[in-house]
Amino acid sequence: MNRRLIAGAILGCAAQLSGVGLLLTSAWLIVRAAEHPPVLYLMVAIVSVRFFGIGRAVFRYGERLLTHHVALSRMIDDRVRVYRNLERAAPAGLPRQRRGDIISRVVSDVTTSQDGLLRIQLPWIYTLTSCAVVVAVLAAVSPVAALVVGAYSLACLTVARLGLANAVRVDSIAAAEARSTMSAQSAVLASTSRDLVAYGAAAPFTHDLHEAIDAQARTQLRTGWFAGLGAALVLLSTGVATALIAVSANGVRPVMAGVVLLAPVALLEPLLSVFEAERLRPAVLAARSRLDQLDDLRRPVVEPLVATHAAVAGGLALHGVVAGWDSSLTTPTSVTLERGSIVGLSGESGVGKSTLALTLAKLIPPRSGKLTLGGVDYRDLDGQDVRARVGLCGQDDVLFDTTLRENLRVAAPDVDDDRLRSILTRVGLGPLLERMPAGLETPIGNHGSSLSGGERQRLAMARLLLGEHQILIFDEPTEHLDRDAARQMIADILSLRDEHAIVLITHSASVLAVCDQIVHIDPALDSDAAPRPAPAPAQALSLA
Amino acid sequence: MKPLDPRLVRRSHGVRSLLGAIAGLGVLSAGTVIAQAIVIATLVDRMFSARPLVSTAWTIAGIFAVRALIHWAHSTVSERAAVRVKAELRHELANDLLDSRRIGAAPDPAAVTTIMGPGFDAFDGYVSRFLPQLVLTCLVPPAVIVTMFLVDPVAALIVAITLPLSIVFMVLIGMMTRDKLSQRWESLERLSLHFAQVLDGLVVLKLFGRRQERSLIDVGRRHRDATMRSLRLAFLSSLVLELVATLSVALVAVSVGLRVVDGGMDLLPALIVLLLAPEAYLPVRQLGMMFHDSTEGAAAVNVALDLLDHDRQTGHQSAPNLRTSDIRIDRVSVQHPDRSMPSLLMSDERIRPGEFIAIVGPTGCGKSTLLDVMLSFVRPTTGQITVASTDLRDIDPDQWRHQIAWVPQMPGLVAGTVADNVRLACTVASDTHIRQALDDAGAADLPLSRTVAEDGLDVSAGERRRIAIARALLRVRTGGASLVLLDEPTAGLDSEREASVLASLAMLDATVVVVAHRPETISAASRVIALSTPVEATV
Repeated sequence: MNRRLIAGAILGCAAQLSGVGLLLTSAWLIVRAAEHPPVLYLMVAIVSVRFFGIGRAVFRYGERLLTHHVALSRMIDDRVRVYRNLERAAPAGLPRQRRGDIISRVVSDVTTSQDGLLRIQLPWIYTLTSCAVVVAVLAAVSPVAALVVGAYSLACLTVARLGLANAVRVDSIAAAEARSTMSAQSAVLASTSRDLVAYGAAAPFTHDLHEAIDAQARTQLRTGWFAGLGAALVLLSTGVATALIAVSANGVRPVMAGVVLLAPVALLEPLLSVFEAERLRPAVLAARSRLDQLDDLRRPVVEPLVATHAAVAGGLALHGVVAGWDSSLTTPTSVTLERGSIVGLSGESGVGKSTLALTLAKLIPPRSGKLTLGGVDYRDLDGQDVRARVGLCGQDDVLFDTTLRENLRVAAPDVDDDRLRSILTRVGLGPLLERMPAGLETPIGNHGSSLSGGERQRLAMARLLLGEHQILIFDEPTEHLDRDAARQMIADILSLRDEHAIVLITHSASVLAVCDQIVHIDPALDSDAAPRPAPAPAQALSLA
Repeated sequence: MKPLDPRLVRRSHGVRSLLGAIAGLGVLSAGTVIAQAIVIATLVDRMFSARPLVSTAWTIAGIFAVRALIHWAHSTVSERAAVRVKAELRHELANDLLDSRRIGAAPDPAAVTTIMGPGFDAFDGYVSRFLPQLVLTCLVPPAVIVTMFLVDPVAALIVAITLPLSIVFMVLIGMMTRDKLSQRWESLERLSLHFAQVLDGLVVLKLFGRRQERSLIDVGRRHRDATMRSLRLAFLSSLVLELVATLSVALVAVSVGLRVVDGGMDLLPALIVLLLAPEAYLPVRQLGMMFHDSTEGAAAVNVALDLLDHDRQTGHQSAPNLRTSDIRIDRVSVQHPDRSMPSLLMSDERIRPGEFIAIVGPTGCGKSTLLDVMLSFVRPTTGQITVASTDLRDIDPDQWRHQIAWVPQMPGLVAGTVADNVRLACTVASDTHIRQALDDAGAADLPLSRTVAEDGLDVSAGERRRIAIARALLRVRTGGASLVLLDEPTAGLDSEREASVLASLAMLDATVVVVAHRPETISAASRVIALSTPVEATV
C-alpha cells in the first residue's frame, strides 16, 4: 500500500471527525457551562473546540494534497497501461471507430477513473469512520442513543449504496444512450454539413437530431426527480433519529443532553457526502470498464518467444502470401525483394494492397503463405526487428503536432541537425526550410496542417529515409500531388534504389511504368485462404 | 470567470424561470434552517432540565420532513431547468450546424460532437447545482445572521464580520492563484495532448520502433509535480474558507460558553446561536466545493456560444439564371485572419455558360478556396464575384446553390444506402436515373442498395468520390443545376474510370469548373485557368 494514500486517508478521517467533534464538543461545553462550574473545568473542552476548529481545515488541506498526488501517480500508470494495450493491437486490432473519438474517450476515461479514488472510495472511508466513532462514543453515554444513531447511519448508507445507485444507473444508461445517438448524429452532420447545405438537403437530417435532443431531454426529465431524493431521505431520517433519541434515551446525564441529541445532526454532512459520491459511481465504473476492455483487444501478431536474428544480408521473400484482415483477402502473392529492385503492387481499389503492406511490416500476420527475411520465417522474427529493416510510408501517416525536428527524430532520436537538413533537402523540402525563419524549430500544426499535401508526403518520406531501412514500401506516394510534384517524387524514389529494395503500391500507370516488376493483386474468395489464425475474441470496444 | 454568464440569462428563458423558482424555495429553506436550530436547542434545553419533551421531539421530526421536502423540490426544479436549458441550446446548435448562411469554415466536428454529447454534461452541474447554490448563498446566510442578532448580537457580530472576510480572502487568494491555476490547465492540456498524440501516432511509432512508456512516465511525472506545486496554492483558498468557518464556530461556542458559565446568558439562546453559526457558512462552503462544476459548465457554455458566433450571409436577391449569365471574378482575394499570406489571389476572370474549365496551380494556391467562394461558403476579403451584374454577396445563398452541383475533395456521406446518398442531389429522382448517374460516374460496380455506414466509414475514398460524382451528375440531369464545381474528382480513380467520368462531365448541359492536377483531366477541359501562389507583398 502506498504510504501517501494511507497518510492521506488518516488525515481525511481526522478532518471529518474534527467537524463532528467541533459540534459535539461545543454542545457539551455549553451544556456543561449551564451547570455553572468553575471555568477551569471547561478548559479541556475549550481547547478541544479550538483544536477541532483549526483541525478540520488543516487536516483537509493535507488530505487533499496527499490523495491528489496518489491519483496523479495512478493516472500515469493507467496511461502507460492504455498505451501498451493499444500499441500491441495497432493498427489492425483497434476498434473500427473514428480514431479521434477513441483517443478523446480514452484520455478522459483515464482522468475519470481516478475520480473513483478521490470522490468515491475516500469519502466512503471517512464517513464510515465518522459513523463508527460517533456510535462508539454514544455507546459509552447512552446505549439507546448509540443504537438509534447506528440504525440511522446504517439505513442511510444502505440506501446510498443500493437503492439509489440502481436508480442512478438506470438513469445514466438511458441518458448515455440518448447522448451517444445525439453526438454521433451531430458529428455526422458536422462532417457532412457542407454537402447537405450545398445540395439544400439539410432539413430531414436536422429533424432526426431535434428528435434525439427531445428524446434525451425526456429521459432526463423522467429521472430528474431522483436527484434530490437521497439528500431528502437523509434529512428526513435525521429528524426521525433525533426525535427517537429524545423520547427514548431516558436517564442520560443532563450534561450529555447536547451530545446525544446533536449526534444525528453532526453526521448529516458525512452522510450527505456518500450520496454525492454515489452520483459519480456510474460514470467512473463505465470509464473503468472501458479501460479494462482495452486489455482484451485482439492482438493481430503473436511474437515469437525466442526471436531469431535474421542475417543482415538477404532480401524479403513472399511465398504464396494471402493478405487480409477483417474482410477482403488477396490472391496468393509470391515475389522476392532484393536491393536494387523496384516492385510495383497494383490492383483495384479496396483489394487489400494496403493490408499487404501492413503484412510486410509484420503488423498483420498473413492469412496463408509465408514471408521470409534473409531466409528466416517472419514467425520466428521479432516484429521490432522486421520493422527495423522494412520501412513503410503509408497513405495517411501521422505527423505530430510539434516541430519539424521532433517529427524527424521519431525515426532517429540521436541524429544531428546537419543530417536532418540534408535529408530534408534530399526529399525536396530545402525551399520550405529556407522559407521558415525558425528552420527546424518550425511547428507544423496538428497532422501537419500548416504544410501542403505534397510537403506532408515529403516530410513523411524524409522520416522514412532517416529510419535506415533496407526495404522501403511506399503506399500511394503520388496521391494528392500535382503532375510535376508527382514526377519529382517518383524520381526521388528511384534515386533510392541503389541502397534499398523498393515496393510501390499504386494504381497510377505512370508510377507502375518505372517498376522492374509488377505484381497484380486480385481479390480472392474467402474459401481460397486458410481460416484466420487464432480466432480472436470478438471484443467490440463500446464507446457509449 | 463570471459565476453567472449574463449572455446565458438573456438568451435562455429556462434560466430566468429557474432563478425565480429557486429564490422562492430558498426563502422557505432559510426558514426551516432557522426553525430547526431553535427547536433542537429547545429539545436539548428541555432534556437538560428534565422537562417533558415528547411534543418538541415530534416537532423536530416534522421540521426535518418539511426541510427534506423543500430540498427535494429544490433539486427537482433545478434538474428540470437544467434539462430544459440544455435542450434549448442544443436545438439552437443543431439548427446552426446546417445554417446555409454560415460564412467561413464548417463547424469543427470535434467541438460539435463534444458539446452535443458528453461536453454538455458539465452544463448539468452548472445549471442544476451551481446556480441554485448561488441563489441559496445570497439568501440563507443573511437570514441566519439576522436571527442570530435577535438572539445574541455578540455572536452575530462574529459571524457577520468573519463571513464576508472569508469570502474576501477566498477571492483574493483565488485571484493570486489564478495564474497558477491557468498554468495547471495548460499543463493538463499539454499532457493530454501528448498522450493523445502518442495514441494517434501509434502506428508510426510502432513502425519506427519508438516505444513510449518512458516518455509517458517522464511527461506524467513532470505534470504531476508541476500540478502538485500549483495545488498547494490552489487549495489554500478552500483552506482559508474552512478555517475561518470552523474557527468562528469555535469562537462563537467558546464565547457563549463562557457567558453561560457566569450566568450572563441562558442555555437556550446559547444553543440556538451555536447551531445557527455553522448554517451561515454552509452555503458558502458548498458553493466553493461546486466551483469545479461551475468552471467546467461555464466552459461548456462558452464553447456553445462560440460555435453559434460566426458571420452569416445576408443576401436576399434572387439568383440570376446561370444558363444565360457569365460569372465574373473580379480581383478576388481571400485572407484568413490567422495566416500571414492570402489563401487566394486572382485577377479578372470570366466564366461563360457551357464552358469546361480546369483550374490548375501549385499546391496551396487557393484552388479549393475559389470553389468555396463560388459556393458562397466563404466571402472574398477583397474583390467580388458578380453574376449578371449582381454581387454574389447580395444573392440568397440557398437559391444560388440550387443551380450548383458540387464534388468536394472529401465528400460527405450520410447513413443509408448508396442510392440515398446520390438522391440527396434531387429527391424526386427515380432509381433508373440514379443507376444511370452511378454508371456514368464510373461506379457501375456499386449496387444501389449497398448500405453506407454513418460518415461513410465503410466506403473507400475512391468509392466516396464516385458516389459524389454521381450525385453531381444527377443534380444537373434531373435537378436542373447548371454549374458543376469539382475538386480533384478523379484522384484515386484508375484511368478507365477517369476517362468515363470525364466523358460524362463533358456531355453535361452545364458549365463545369474542375480543380485538377491530372493531365488527363486538364486536357479534357476547354480552357485552363492557372492560379499562382499568392505572394505576401501583393496584399
